[in-house]
Order: sequence, then structure tokens, then C-alpha cells
Amino acid sequence: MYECPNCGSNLKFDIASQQMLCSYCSTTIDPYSIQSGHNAEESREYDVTIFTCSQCGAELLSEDTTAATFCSFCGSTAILDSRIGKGRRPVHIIPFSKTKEDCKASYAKMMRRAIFAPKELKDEENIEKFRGIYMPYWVYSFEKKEQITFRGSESRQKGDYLITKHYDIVSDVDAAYEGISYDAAASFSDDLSGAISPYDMKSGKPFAPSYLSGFYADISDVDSSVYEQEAGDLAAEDCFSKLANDSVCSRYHVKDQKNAYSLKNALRPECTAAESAMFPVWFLSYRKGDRVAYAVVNGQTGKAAADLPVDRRKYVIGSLLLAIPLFLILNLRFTIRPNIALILSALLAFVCALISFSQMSRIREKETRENDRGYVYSKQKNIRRANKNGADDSWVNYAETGQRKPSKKSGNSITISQIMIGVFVAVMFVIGMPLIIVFLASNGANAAVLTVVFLLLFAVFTRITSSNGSPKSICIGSLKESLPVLAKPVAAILLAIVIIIWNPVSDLYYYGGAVISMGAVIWTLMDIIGRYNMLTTRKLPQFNRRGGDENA
Amino acid sequence: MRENSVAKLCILIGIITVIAVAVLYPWSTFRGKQDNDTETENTAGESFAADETYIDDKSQAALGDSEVYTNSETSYRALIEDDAQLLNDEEERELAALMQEITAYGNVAFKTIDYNDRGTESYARKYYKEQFGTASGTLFVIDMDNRNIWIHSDGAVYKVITESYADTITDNVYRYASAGNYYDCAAHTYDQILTLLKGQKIAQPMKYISNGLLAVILALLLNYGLVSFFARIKKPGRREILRSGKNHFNYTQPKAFFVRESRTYNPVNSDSGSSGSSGGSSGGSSSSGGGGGHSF
Repeated sequence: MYECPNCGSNLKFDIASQQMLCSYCSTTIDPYSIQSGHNAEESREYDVTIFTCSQCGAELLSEDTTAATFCSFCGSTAILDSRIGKGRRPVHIIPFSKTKEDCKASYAKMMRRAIFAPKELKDEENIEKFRGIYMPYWVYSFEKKEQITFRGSESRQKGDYLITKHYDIVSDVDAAYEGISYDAAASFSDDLSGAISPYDMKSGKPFAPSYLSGFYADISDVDSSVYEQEAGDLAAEDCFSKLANDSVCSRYHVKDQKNAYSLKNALRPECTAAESAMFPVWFLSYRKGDRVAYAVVNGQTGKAAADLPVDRRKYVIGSLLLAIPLFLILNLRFTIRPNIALILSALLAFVCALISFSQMSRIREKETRENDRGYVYSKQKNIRRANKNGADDSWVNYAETGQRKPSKKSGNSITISQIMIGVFVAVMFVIGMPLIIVFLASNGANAAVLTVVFLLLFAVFTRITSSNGSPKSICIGSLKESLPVLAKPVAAILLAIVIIIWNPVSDLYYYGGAVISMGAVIWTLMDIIGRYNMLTTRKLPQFNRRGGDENA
Repeated sequence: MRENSVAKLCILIGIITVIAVAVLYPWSTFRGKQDNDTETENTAGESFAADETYIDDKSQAALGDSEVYTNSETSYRALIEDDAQLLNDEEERELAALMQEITAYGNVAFKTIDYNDRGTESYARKYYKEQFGTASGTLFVIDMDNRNIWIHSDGAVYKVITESYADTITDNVYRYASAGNYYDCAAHTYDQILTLLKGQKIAQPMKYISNGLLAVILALLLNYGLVSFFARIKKPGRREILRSGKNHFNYTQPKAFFVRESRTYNPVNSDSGSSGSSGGSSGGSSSSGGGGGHSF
């Protein structure tokens, strides 16, 4: 706590003036002119109050000694435990430049498009809980200043032979990249921190604890090595894109796959610094049951991102309203024959099965946070701490060395298996479905058999692409998880197939089957929304940070 | 906030409705024109006579075996050929009376067969062409061999009795044929055809139920697509990230130094490519008509 030199009341950092401000006598003081305790310039630590949530174990640092009334990470309103501790002193800080009102305006702008979001997310009382938190980041600097040599080639056809001339291409490069930042707190998910990035390091300042007054700060629990390679890739990719477009490089086809690797390797810059920093984030949590959703706003730029779950009631009402014009359009344009109604319901069930299947794998990925490298690192660190005799280090190795865990799905990039599934689905729809419809027109039984074959192919295909390749995982895999999810759409498809093969004269069977099948589709869609809400919310966090201060 | 969401929903629905109207209005206008402005729609010299009650019983005597009536004003004919012997004389007379009304709009025929070596649709198309050519009219076939009923229409009548309506009518009447009530089946068919030709509506309950469910499913799916799209947490691209830091990248003009040469056997394909397709498409049927049917 910083005392006002005039009246002795609490000084807090004022965003508008970028000074320390006394709310009683309006005295303003430069943040660097006041220090609490010993010489902070030379110390690697500073005194803070550490608030610990008794529910999730999250820790927040503050210069303020008054008790925090709720936990920003799990939404718990239990009084947080507090103790005096030491915070690791970062090198840089970007002070808040967006006020809470700015933050609320950015958030409201973003929420305008979230028409089905629960009303609590737009509730003024809830939005008031936005809390200014300085999040720890690693700021990387890279440099490359040397002569590099890489490969190039040019080819020409001569008779039945392709003549290729190979070249070594030499260039002196001078590259420097500063200010590539990644969040250093396991509590702050990579997707949210990435979404509100970047921060402009040009307006960064040397750290002074006084900037934290009136705000909170999260602790840094991720090693700088975790994101070093990713940051280096970013710099190398930028160098590559610039050099590879040079006229000489274009002439010698440096961008070709066989040559590109050589240039990328040659251009890879060295990490010259990884400095800790505090970046401003307006943070809000919304808790419902055992799930929590976060909203974050960049305290420097005002960029907002949030988990946006859906209120089922609003979603259903909105869909019914949308169904009215669709119904009118359908009635004006289409007279659906009973058999077509049945096959359409089966196709829609198939689409729902695909969506459900995709959601399942994404939920698995999200719940384990296997692609959140900071979280994985922190988790394994805790395990190692708990089990000194040597726990499973397989995750740690990947995280500590900055390597990605060899996962089938990595981050936001599209994996080969996803491409394969995409191609398969496209082929099915472009070729398979017209075939089925043509067959249906001539012979319902043929269409049904064709449908079954496609479904079986799809089932085998998805099992292979989503499994780790072992026969056991292909056969069994996550059958227990998939069965209840896929039961309804698959039952709808099977019902349609049985009726098509049976081919009764009476339309009642077709219409009855179609109505039941469509009912199953609607039920499945409700399940899909339930799972969508799982995807847009998070498990209540468990940080296990208790038992020491930040440096423990 | 809440009012804002409702307003957005209303705007969304409004936009969709406007699009629907924009797409469908010309079509509806066209339909209306068919129903109301029948005199001007005649392209083959035939006309839809507005006076639908005109029946000239005396001309009956001049008709052939299958021809039961010729409308002296429109020259459209009514034919009944009950080869499968499904109707008795009394039923044929009653059916002929019903069919006479349709001659105000076009030719009309009723055909039953108990042997057919082709599909019902193909038979109906051929039979219609033999009897009426491409003139406006409608044909109802009961095919006992294939256990199928079929409506085939052409000309101006086809613009009203479309394939969709032919399907709907046969869906509505196939149960009579299944129960052996062929007269009821034919009578209801012509009754519904006449209703449509008069510009009135026929019952399509299952169409509304199916379309209702389909609309709800499509709306749920569309909204799912919308929320998924808008809820995406997007990360900035490389350029945006790097723009925020202090970066520079300079390089000297690259120089290439020859290292070696390699030869790879790579025969050039000598194929001259596929030749162009020869011949035109077959002329196809001169009939523009069509229809729909149902098994029984």
C-alpha cells in the first residue's frame, strides 16, 4: 500500500493520468518516485499481498492489503485467504491504458453478436465484476546477423530427361525481432491470451510495483523455455516470407518444398532474451454449476475475447422464430415426397452425427488442455513437486524443451487426419449423396445398402484417423463415450434404412419414420447445444499453488 | 441488452422474409397469372375457357368408344379407356361427368391397364402423346400390372398440375386404389385436379408437418452455425503479432553459386489429350409434360 504524502490515504494508479492518484486529496505522483520498502531497483523481488482462493487454489498478487471478495478464476465468492509474500519482479510492465468503462464498452460491443448468450453475461451487475489483473508474460527477442547459405534449383526439360541445376545461394542477413510475447501463467489459457494479443511493447515501461496499486497480478508459473521455439518459429517464418520473395530466390525456386527447409533452417534466429513482463488484462468470470466461462479485454488495446455459451431457452426461441420464414419458403417451393422426407431426415441425422463426433474430440482436447503448453508445463511441475521420486516426465520433456507434444491435433492448425476426414466428407456429399438419391429414385433398397456402406466406411475411417493407430484403439477406442452421443442419430438413420428397405405401400410408415427420425435429430441438436456449452466453458480450475509464495 | 437481442432476431427474421419474398414473388405472380389470366396463356391455340359449366351432352353421340366428351367451345376432349375393367358403366358415366368439367381447361383422360411391359410413367407419357400430342391436358393412369397410379400432364394444365401436385394428389388417393375402390380413387383425383385448376387449394397435411419439422431442424442447424461462427476465439496472424514489436529484417542481394547438375528420367507424355466429344445430345422427347404417381 502506498500512502499519499499529503493526507496519508491510499494511492492508486490512475489510468487516465497514468500517475498515482490520491482519491481524497487528488494528489498525483509519478509511479517511479515512490517505492515501498527497500530499494526495488536492485531487488529481484517485491513485497505483495498474496490472496489464495480456498476453492481452486488460484493465487492473486496485490499491493492492496484489503481482502479480495471473489476469485477471478473460479468465480467463488468465499473470502480469499491472504498473506504477505514476495513477488518475482518482472522486467517490464505495460500499464493499463483502458479504463474499466472502456473495457465494459469493448465487451458490450463484442456481446452484441452473442444473441443467444445467457443474460447473466450481459448483466450490468456481473459486468461490474471485471477486474484489472496484470498477467505475467514472457517477452522474447531474437537476432540473426550473419551470412547464410541455402539451396536453390532450376529445372528444364530436355528430351525425356528433367535437367536440374542445383545452387548454393548466399546472402548476408540482419534480423532482429523484439517484443514477441506469450503468457506465462497456467491460469490464463493460451486461446484467450492469444485472442487478445498482441500487446505493443513499444509502450512498455520498466516495472515498478506501484503500477500494481489498485489492481491484481497473476503469478508466473511457466518457464521461459516453453514458448521459446514457437516465438522463434514466428520470427523465422517472417524472415522466410521476406527473403523467399526476392527475385533471385524466386528464380531459383527457393519456396519449393525441397529448398524451403534449407532456407528456414538457415534463417532460424537465436533467442537473445526472454524477459518477464506484466501486461494488463481486464478479467471476468461467469460461473454456472461446475463450469466457468471467462471474458478478457486487453487493458492496452481494448481487444475483447470471451467464452460464449448459449442459453438453451433463447436458442430454442430464436430457432423457432427463424423456422417460421423457413417453413413459409419450404411450403412455397417444395412438396416433399414421403420417401424423400425420410431420406432427408436420415441425412440430417448423419450431419448431426458428424457434428457430435467432431464435438467429442474437441471436448476431449479442451478438457485435458493438451494444447495449452503453459498449463501442461505447470501441471507437470506440480506433479513432479508432489512426487519427488520421479513421476511421469513425458509431458515435462515436451514442455520444457519447447517441443510440441506429438499430438494428432495441434493447436489451431489443421492436421492431416482432419484434412482426410474433410476430404472424405466432401467426397461423400458430392458423390455419395447424389448416388443415394439417384438410387433411391430407382430402388430404395439399393439406396439403403449404399447408405449403410457409406456409414460403415465413415465409422471405420473416423476410428482410424482418431485413434493412435493400434488395432485395439481402432476397435474399441472411446466407444463408451461415443455410444450415448451417437445413439440417437444412428438410430434415426437405421430407422430410415429399415423403412426404405421394407418399402411399404402406405405413406404412413414413411411419414411416421420421418417424424420419429426428425424428432431424434431435434433431440440430437439439443445435445449438440449442451456439448457446445461444454466447449465454450471450462472446468473449474484447480491450481494447487498453495503452500508457498510465488518463488517457492 | 435483452431488447437488443430481440431486435436482432426480428431483423434477422425480417431479412430472411424479405429474401424469401424477393425470390418467391415472381414465381407466385407467375402462378397467379396462370390461374387468372388463362385466356392469354394459350400457346398452341388452345384456351382455358372461363365458362367451366358449359357441357354439351348432345355431342356425346358423335364420340368414339373411348371418347366420352368433347367441349365444343374449347375443343378439349375427355377419354375413358378402362382396359382393366375396373369401373362399371354407372361409375364410368359419373366419372365422365366429372371429367367434362376439366375440359374447360384442357384434355383429360382416364386409362386403366392390366398389362404393362414398361414403367407406369413411361407408359403414361407415351399414351398421352398418342392421344393429345403436346396439347394441354392431364391423364390419370391406373396400372394394375405395376400396382401404380400416375398423373401425367402437359401444356398449360401442366403449369398448374405440376409434378409436385401430381405427387401430392396421388399421395392423397392411393389408399382408395389399395382398398380396391378404383372409382373413388379416380373421382378424388379428378376432383382435386379440378380444384387446383380452379385456383383453389387441396389438403396437404403431411407436407406441412414434414416442412414444419424440417424448418425447425434447419433453423436449429443454422443457428448452431451462427453461434459457432461468432463464438470463435480467433488468434491474430503473424503479421499483426510482429507489427506490435520492434522488428527489422535486412539482407544483401542473394548470390547463386552453381553446385551440380542432376538428370532425372521424365518422359514427356505424348498423348494429344482427349478428343472433343462428338455428336450432340439426343433430341429427347418433344413433350414438355410430366407428372407423379404412387404405388398402391
